[in-house]
Amino acid sequence: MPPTQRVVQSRAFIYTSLVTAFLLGALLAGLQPQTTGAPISAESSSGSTGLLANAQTGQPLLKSISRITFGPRGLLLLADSRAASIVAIETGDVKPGETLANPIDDVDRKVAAALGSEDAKIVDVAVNPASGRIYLAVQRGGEPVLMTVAADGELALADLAKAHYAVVSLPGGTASKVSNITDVQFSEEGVLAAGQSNEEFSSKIFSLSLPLTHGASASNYSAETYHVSHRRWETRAPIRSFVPYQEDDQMYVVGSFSCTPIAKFPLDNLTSGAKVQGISVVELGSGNQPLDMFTYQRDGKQWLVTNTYRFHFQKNTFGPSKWWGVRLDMKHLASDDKVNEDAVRRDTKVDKDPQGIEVVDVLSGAVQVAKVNDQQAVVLRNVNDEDRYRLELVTLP
Amino acid sequence: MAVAAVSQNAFRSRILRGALACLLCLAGCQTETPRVESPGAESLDADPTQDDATLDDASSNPQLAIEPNAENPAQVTVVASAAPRDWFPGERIEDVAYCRQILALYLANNLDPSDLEDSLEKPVAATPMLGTYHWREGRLEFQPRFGLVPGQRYLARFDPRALGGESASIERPLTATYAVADSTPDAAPHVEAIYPSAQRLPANHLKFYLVFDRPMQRGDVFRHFRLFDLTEDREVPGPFRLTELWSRDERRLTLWFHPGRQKDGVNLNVEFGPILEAGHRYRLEISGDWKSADGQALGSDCEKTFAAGAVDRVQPDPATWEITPPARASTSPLVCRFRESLDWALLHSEMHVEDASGAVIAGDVQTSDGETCWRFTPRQPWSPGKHRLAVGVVLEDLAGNSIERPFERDIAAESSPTSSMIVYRDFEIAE
Repeated sequence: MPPTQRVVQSRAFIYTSLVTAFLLGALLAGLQPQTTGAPISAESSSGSTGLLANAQTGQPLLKSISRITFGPRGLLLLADSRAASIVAIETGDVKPGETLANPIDDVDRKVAAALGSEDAKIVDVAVNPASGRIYLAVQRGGEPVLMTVAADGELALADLAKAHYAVVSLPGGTASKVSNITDVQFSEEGVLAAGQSNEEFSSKIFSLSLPLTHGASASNYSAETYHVSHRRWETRAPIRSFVPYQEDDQMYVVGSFSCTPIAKFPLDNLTSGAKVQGISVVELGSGNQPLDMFTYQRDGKQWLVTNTYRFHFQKNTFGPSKWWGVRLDMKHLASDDKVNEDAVRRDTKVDKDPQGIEVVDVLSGAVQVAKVNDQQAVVLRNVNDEDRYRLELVTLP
Repeated sequence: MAVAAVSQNAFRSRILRGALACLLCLAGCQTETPRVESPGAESLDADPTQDDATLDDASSNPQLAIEPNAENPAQVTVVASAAPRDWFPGERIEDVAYCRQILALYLANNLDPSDLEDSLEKPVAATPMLGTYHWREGRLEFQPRFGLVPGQRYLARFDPRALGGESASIERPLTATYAVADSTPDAAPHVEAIYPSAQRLPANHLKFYLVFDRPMQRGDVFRHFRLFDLTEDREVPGPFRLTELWSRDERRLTLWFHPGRQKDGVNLNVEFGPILEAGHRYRLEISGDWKSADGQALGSDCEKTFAAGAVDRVQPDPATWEITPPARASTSPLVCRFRESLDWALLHSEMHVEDASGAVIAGDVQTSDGETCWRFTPRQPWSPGKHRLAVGVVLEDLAGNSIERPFERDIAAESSPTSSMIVYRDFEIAE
């Protein structure tokens, strides 16, 4: 009997305990002084989502913004790499609505114009599943900015003046060598993040227990995985993007790396500081840098989608753009025998590999991808390999 | 207050410049397209000594001004007025879309004038800056949410026609331009150091540290780097890992060779070969076009030349290090020499000295001789007795081999990495 598998998503999950170690870590960390520099409001509470503890009120003071994602009930998770922290914000944006009526051409220039600086870059895109609204993470020079896109295309600043929020530091706070938080994701009993050191070659997975407690510190694990292409451990290659995933009551992070195996990391029963060894399950082909990852259901199948940047300048096998997307039948994640050196390898000569690994045409040029629902995704698309970008809604295959 | 006003009839422009601000205005309503003057242009009828550049309360004509904050010229308020004093329906001040039709501020650097043209059928296409509106004492005010950026230009547009009445009789909107003087320092940014400083690197060398005197512009930085094989007189294609990893003070970039090409047998290595070949000479170039965060280019290319030696798969072994204890009661440095170059950044973050009680001794670290030598100078004189050098096991050599494990570990060999996080070398300072 095949193992059961289930994707852990923001609104429907199963996530068995991320263990007492988290709770202990959070308890201890909660006693530590705040290291983020965020202003402490006189008011603190558990917020309105029930997902925060010791929540502060008001605009959180951010040092940077590198990734954003959503949990349930409009909870925004924001990676502040420069402050070595994860910021959880109750946006209060929970009224269901439309996502985007028409594509926004030159959205990058419009964002720059709205912010009054040519030095403004969209670094991430997310969709709030509670409202369908698009959020943009933008760096305006050294200043982080969170923007919203209305269904009619109007750009605005996210209004967080009265929001409840909690800041959770990575271990070591600003002394941490993790200078790049590559991804952050919500799972029902914990928030997970991945990061890279700016010194030693290492990969870290961070776990933040629920409720997310302002002033707490995350637990961390060192991650390493097997590289499909040779019979040696990939020495701590950094996880670029990931999704939480559950299989047979075991909690995993399914992550992707540069050049480019997809691997799963079992997380249950780990203590902070532990090393976790990944299991490589699929090789998508060398020379790609994965950017985003999400899952969806279609026709009774669960698919894992990732968009990647192809840095193999000589090879041009996926169409005209350096950016392309692929979907993978998640049955491969449950495999017990086709792993590591026997992992499934994508047939790079065909668009639709009958093994269930398919190029997704609507993701050609996709620099950023964010799931809206099982039918649609929002794509920030590079246009004609020029320095122009369009924001649009696409239908998933 | 440094303010410039524009009126339809007066058609006058003024430049009032403070130490940091350069403010220009012109009556855009007199031209077909908005004119944007360069900061510092002297061709207008400027009179910096005049102090009457505020809105003329006695005037019945529509007026537009950009008022900089007296202490910070990057913070401005765009002000519009017209007659009579209740010309604006104040109850609509919360209606941002309506307010924008009347008054808005735009980033003007690459603004297409046609994007400011409008009609009943086609509203202004240009994206206005985000900010807040206020209605005060007959003035409609707009405050941009973000400070204006030195060196970039802005254009304010006041179109009273949507209001109806007397104010709507003008033919075209008023416009005014503004620029904050570029206040960047005179000196260009520069590369303070490139590590490793050694001239000979292993063929499986992994990363460089580029240290700048100030934060540099981020995003798409890899177009500024090139690697040349001087032996074969060709550029090495695609050598870098496209991940920006900056220090928290944003002055140090960790520039990686792509690990997938430096690792034996990995797909990139197999398909494209390693980046470096033993025996070849190379030049790493940093383009002089790269700008600092404050907008100044390096100006000239910076380079590091080096030779590639043999591949290094041997882990550093602290037991082989040569430690020279200092004299008691002195602040002479403790000197530790290695058998190879080690990672410059990790030598600063992963090594420290403890006294007999295990307390960490405060001091300063210096490296030299191509990072084969580590010196620790205490802030207080050395006490006699036992001490120990503590070394984090993540300390790496130039090829990514750490004390904990080699960069490439063959699982078939089933060797287990060391489990402790720190290793120690004892030394004693004589009485």
